[in-house]
Amino acid sequence: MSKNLNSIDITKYPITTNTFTWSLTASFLSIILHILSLLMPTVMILTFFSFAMDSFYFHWRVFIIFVDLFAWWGLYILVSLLLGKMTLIILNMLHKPKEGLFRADHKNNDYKFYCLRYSVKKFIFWIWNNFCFPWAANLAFKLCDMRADYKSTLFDGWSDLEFIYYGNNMMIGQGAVVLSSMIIRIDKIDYLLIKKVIIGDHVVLGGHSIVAPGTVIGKGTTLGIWAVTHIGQRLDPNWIYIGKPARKYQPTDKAREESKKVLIRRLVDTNERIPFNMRSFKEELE
Amino acid sequence: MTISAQPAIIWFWLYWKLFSLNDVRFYILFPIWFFIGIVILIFSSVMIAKIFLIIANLIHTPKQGIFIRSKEDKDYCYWSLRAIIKKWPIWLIRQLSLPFFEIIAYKIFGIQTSFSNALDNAWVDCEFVKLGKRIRIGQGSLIMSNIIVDDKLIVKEVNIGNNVIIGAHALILPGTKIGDNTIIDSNGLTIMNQKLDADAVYSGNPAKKLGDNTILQNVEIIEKGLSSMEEPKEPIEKRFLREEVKELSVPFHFYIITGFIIIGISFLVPAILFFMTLFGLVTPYLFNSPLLSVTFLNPITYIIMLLIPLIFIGLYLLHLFFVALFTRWFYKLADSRGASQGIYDRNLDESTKALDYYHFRSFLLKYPVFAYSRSPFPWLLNWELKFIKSNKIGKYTVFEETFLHSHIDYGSNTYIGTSSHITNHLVDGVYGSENLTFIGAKIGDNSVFNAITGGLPGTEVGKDSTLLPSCTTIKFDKLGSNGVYAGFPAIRLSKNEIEKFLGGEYSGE
Repeated sequence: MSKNLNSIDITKYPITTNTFTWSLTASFLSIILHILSLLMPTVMILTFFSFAMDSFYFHWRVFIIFVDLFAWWGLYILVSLLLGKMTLIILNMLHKPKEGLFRADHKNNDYKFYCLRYSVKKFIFWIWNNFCFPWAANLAFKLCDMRADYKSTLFDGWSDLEFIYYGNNMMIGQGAVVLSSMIIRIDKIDYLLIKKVIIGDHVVLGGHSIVAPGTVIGKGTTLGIWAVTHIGQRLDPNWIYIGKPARKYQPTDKAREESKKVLIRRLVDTNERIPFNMRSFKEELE
Repeated sequence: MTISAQPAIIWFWLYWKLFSLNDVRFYILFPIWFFIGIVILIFSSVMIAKIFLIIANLIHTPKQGIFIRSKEDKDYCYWSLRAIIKKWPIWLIRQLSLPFFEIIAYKIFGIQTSFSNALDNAWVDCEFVKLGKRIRIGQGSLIMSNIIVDDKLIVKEVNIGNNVIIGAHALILPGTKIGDNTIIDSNGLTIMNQKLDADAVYSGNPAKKLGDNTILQNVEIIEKGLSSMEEPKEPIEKRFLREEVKELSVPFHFYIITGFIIIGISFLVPAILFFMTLFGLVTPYLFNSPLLSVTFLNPITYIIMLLIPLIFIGLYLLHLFFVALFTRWFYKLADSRGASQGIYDRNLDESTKALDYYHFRSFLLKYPVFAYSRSPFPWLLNWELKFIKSNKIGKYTVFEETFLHSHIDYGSNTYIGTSSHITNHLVDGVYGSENLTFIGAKIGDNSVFNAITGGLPGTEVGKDSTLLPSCTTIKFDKLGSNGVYAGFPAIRLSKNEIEKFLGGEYSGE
């Protein structure tokens, strides 16, 4: 990259991040939500002993206590989702979320509401990701105005929480990052860029890969480990992409055939390739 | 932990005195009281940790340098001790999704930082870190002031200037100095003792200067460029994005039933004991006695107050134990019936028994690993995985916050760093008739996987080897002994390269 980068060529700009400092309002909102969502479960837990069990330790009710337990837990996450959703609706009524380039400054309304929306969504996902069935979070994704289905595994990576349209049956690898917004610094002033990300059906995002704002990924495509897309990149369907910025490596069909052939092991020290005997390695492990 | 719970107990005691259990106000106000109680708990634990830190630092001042990773080295011992002391308060704070408290704790622990920093998505080490103001750090990036190479621990201060942006997955190694207003690209890595200029853009592994951060200048042109980007139109979008619908046959009903059994029943005994302590011990003997100086003259009060946190910790451990126990039974079932290691077609639209059990097995490990590694006692994880019989783990192996999979052999005294990922399966492509490679990995004794490293299935690592941060192997790789590896795909570094990577601090000998 030269010093005089073409100003329009934003595709070569470094992919940064979208973390923000929590404003006082955001912290306050989050605390209120935490407190309100605790209300119902605490009432149920504290009244359980005196009402359900008649203040008697060995009441038969105690043996189905795990049913109550799931009721408490379930109520907690559902109430938190409802409260979060209500707050989001109010926030969106006050200021409509939109794509574009905004000053990253709490005086800017777009940025201010972006931060507020994110703090509310973070509160929801904090609770949902700590639930024992990680797929449950897909429901939360749906209610946060994103497209997602129930069978995708979306919980292993960092995903942004708005302007993302996931396909069906897709996978996000461990530690992958999907960004629909990021900070760019133009003439020493920080701007927030929001651009929607569209991901097709059956897409696999590899571990530690990064999807930049504005990316469109076709169906059946795989993004390799450590791969990074640039802003506004289009990935064709049924290809494997690797590298930074992501480039075509081979068609998915070809990779599928090749991995059925001889397995090759790389000896890293000498850079030799030898056939890999899976059976003997398996026996070593067992 | 026990001592730090005392102010919170008094706080709840006071509440019990103010409102009775039959009063509606009790329930309405309880969440607020509870929240404040947690805040009190956080502050008291931070303060007590601070006192312990001061004592530990008086006995042995923390210093930078190269230390030997063994129990005989005093510096290494005190370094681990300090990490353990900080563990409980930091863990407690991370249970709340409020970054504000974390920054307060960091400040109390003596790290130079500012409330205008956004660090909540990243891992930042808790000592020898100097942060400026208005720093943004990306998802999953790491700021390390220590690194483990071979049998050495290297500690060196990291210094980050004001207004710096660090991209996602970027790694800042010990000894790095970053000037003001600098931007680091995602996946960037600074080598040890690297000095980054102010007002610059850095990218790559290791990070190289791309230019000044004034590369983008005109906002209007960029806005125009953004809006002119082609958007997928309706009919094309459908062909481009949508696959014909195939019904997946993932046995979700199976998951839900076993999930309920493991989690539900593991809470059964702890929950009964919880109610017995709360209403049999705490309420009659402590909360119902008046909050007066007379009560505090009675030694029984103190005994109960000390017992309460101990009992709650015990119940928590009991729950964890039951989780491991039930998982062990189900795991045995799934492992004997599930797919053994090999390469499979993964036709998810047609149900096969082997694959169902394969998915079921990975689901089974999810909650137990999650419950243990997110608990305040993450070191119990070693015991748990051995107990479930999913992995072989040698003695003194340390796991930081990582992704864990079954069928991986860890030797003794290995170190698996933050967010590193040794996996047992790899999918080439997506659903449909695609390939699933499923084979474990083998890690030799004394080997070190640093932060954000990766080991793909079939990887074999010899003894005393080190994978430097962000090093990732490809599938079926064999790494030798006594080596230092870096990059993706992993390459063995020569002595000069190691010296360069580690900023001349250490050459691997």
